[in-house]
Amino acid sequence: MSVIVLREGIYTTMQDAGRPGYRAAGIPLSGAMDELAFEAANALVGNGSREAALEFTMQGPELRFEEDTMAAICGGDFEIRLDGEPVPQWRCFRVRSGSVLRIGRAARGLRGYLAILGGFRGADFLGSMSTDARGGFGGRRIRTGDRIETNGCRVELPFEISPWFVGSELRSIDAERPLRIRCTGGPEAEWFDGRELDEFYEQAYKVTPQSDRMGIRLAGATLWIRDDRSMASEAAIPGTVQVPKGGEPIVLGCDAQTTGGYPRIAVVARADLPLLAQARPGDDVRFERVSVAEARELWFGRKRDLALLRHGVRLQLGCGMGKDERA
Amino acid sequence: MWSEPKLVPLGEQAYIVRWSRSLDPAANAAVHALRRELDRNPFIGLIETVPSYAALTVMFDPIRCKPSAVIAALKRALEKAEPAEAADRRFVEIPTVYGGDAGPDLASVAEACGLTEPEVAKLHSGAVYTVAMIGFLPGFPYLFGLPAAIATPRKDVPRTRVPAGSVGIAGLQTGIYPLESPGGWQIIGRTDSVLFDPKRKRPNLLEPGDRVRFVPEGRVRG
Repeated sequence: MSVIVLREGIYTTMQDAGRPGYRAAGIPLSGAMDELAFEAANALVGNGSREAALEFTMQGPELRFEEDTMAAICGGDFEIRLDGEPVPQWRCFRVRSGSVLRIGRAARGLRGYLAILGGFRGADFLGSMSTDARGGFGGRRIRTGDRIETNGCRVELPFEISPWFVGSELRSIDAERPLRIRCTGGPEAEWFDGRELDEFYEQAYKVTPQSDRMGIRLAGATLWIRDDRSMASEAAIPGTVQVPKGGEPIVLGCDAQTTGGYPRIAVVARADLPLLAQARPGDDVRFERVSVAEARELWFGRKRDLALLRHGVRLQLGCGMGKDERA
Repeated sequence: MWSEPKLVPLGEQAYIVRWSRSLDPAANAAVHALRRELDRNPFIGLIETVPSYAALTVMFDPIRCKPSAVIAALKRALEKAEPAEAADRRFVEIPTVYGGDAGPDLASVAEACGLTEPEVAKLHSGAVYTVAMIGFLPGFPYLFGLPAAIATPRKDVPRTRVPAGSVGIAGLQTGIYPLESPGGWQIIGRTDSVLFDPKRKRPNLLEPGDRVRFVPEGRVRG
């Protein structure tokens, strides 16, 4: 079955769990920027963790559904109406054939995810339907008039809106402000003067409007490396905090280049990347140093919360389908 | 055979195995040897490895393996890693038009190096290169082996638009833009070879470790 795009929103793409395994070929991971919201949305409709969803930014799309399905929206605080009636986020809800879903502006946060039962179906590239706009594969950004295919399946549900919902622990937009972003020390951290490192962890940076899926660009006191050190390019992963020549840090996003030659002062803990995915231009960000062991524990906590959500929903739905086990 | 590398964490999901901080062909050979060994005998939890000039970054799932297990596995792999067999290496020819519209920087590179344009083209196409790593864009190869006589720094002001297939020089590096992109490399020629095509079964034409030669097409355009 298909979904017709009546209005495309500001920047809407299909994203799933990404395409790991090809970074040695220069092909970025891509995938959902707020992976917790993406996985929560899939979990709410009983999908596996790898089904493709629509990721929308700042203002969402307006869609008409051709058939009945179940849907869920997680992420920023978006105004959502189904056939004119408000619909809550963080729960799954029934969509009927012919219904129009209108996702408006984000009052808080930046990105949202629409998951439907069975997942969306887009252009597969190397096993993933995540769109990489720069590379030009995995589809392209969604445009008004598009017809998006889905792995639709009909289902009979005893409710319009599920009684269960995603708890606050998985809602990145509920994080305290200014954002506290935990990170481990980067491989070139010692290239920075001790005072500069303290500066990096003490001051508040502001998210700039130049931020996107390739990276979150920050404005604030500039950082300089001592001496004239330089490095040969090495692999770069999402969450890497690079300090380019201008001295203002960039946190690499999902679509970032796979290698880089700028010094890396820190690496954001994977558990906190979703907080940055929801950071709007003008938001304040503070970095906090943690050990690798602590970063691991933080990630385990997120995975536990997601697993509990997934299994809890499946018990309620009495089903489970689709692709699972994202790395 | 190779020097002992450093093992450095990159966040909680990766380790860097680093031999050097510079463009070092011997270190690059060690990078590819380790990569091959991990490919043959992956440890539980290994996701992928990304080679660079003188370091190999190893990505793993922290839920499936502890850091101590990763370090132990890397040390074992380092002991078993071996240089590539000559037969393992692929040899790829890249037909290239030098100069003119295809190579708008050939003239300035020649002047900077005190050579004529045909001399630059001859030196560039006379060498056999090794793909040290792929990065920056899907399929963009960073090649070792540029003759020092034609090494030229990046452009002060990058171009907003470098056409796909452009062959460039940046310092001692030479490479090929697989897609149209902004870029600061000195563009000395262009190839019709498609370095990256998402519709191909193997999207990338070149892989790390491949040998490459540029084959001049036609006269060097002035």
